[in-house]
Amino acid sequence: MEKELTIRDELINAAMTSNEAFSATLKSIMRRMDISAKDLSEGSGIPLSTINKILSECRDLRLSTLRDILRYLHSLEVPQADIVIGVIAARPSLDTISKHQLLAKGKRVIIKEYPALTIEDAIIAAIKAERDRVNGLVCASIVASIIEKFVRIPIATIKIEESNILDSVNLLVEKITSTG
Amino acid sequence: MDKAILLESVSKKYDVGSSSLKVIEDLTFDVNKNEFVCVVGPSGCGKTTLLRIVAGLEPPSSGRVLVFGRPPDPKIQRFGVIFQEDSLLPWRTVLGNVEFGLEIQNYPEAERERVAKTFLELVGLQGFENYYPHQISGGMKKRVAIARALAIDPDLILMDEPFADLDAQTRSLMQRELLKIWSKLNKTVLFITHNVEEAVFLAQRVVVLTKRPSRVKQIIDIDLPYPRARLSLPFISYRERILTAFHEELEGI
Repeated sequence: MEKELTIRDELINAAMTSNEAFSATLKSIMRRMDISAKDLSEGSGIPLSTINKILSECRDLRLSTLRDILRYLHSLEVPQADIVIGVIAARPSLDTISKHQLLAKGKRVIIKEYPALTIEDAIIAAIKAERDRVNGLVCASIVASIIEKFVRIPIATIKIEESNILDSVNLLVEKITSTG
Repeated sequence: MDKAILLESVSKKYDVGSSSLKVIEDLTFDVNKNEFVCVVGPSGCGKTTLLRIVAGLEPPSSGRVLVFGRPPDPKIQRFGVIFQEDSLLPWRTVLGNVEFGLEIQNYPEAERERVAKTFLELVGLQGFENYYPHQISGGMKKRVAIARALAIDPDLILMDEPFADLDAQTRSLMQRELLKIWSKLNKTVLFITHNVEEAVFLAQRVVVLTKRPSRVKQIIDIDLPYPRARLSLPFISYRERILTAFHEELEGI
């Protein structure tokens, strides 16, 4: 999985370069996140005059000020989901999921993985997911009929296409013929 | 803190498309430690939602919920939940099913069998440990589900219409059994039902909810000694009182 540069990384990198770079990076992040100097001051607890000096005069800043800025911007960065969906499946299937945050019908959705190998694992995973307060679960239909006896959250099943089955048939034919 | 459950102005609404559906509105009541409280209300009034909020499975939209003095958290506190469907695993024996509840709680493996057997005995199923769910009756399956919920030593027992699918005779037997178990264990029970007679038979207090969005319509102390005689005059008069409140709510649905 590719790792995105966090706001924290960006600002530390800039701070290592120069005061000017830090100031410019902070400005661009604030623009990107639509945060005013006043917002930053209120959110981080740093006086507005200090913020303005950092932004306009590229002033040297204290370590504690840097910490406050990073902490506040980082808190905004943590994804705030409208909906959390748990996916119960075997590890290899879960590994096919490349995006764990997405937009669906205008809602910010976070996907949480719940690996399970047996039906009993799946039941335990579903109970755990419900305790994690996920809003719904995705799982294979054969699992769904059982876990819906244990949890009271909406469940959607994974649809299998003919091509998936044909792939498996081909794989199996290969296995049978190669061992024979 | 004497209160097992404290609900203060609890509301719950769900966003449905662009509008929102109010299920619970400004609900306030409490349950004392070791008390047996029944909640009755018309169907669809949010009883199950209420149970899920108490179990910490859903946050309220507003208001305050405390279970033994703290916001409920199923990862820390233990809730023994019993639903209408028995949710037993058909491929496990009676004993294995009770052990499964302990496995979910990460109970030490060496202790599971002993604890499971203790609770099977408590619900009167000694000798049936090695039977499979399809080999036993509906009432016995219910007992297994109760044993499974109790074995984890829950802080709270939450029951969501657990006996609704039983025939009348088995239901009344299970109600008596449940009271026996409750008197032995000193546990707090929140029992949800739409059956008024069941509530009067079981509860020390009955909370009557209004139709959706549900609020508390009335809280009635059932001041009768156990075991209760269903045909006694005071029993019938409690039943009438609650039914009257209940029927006012049913009208207009």
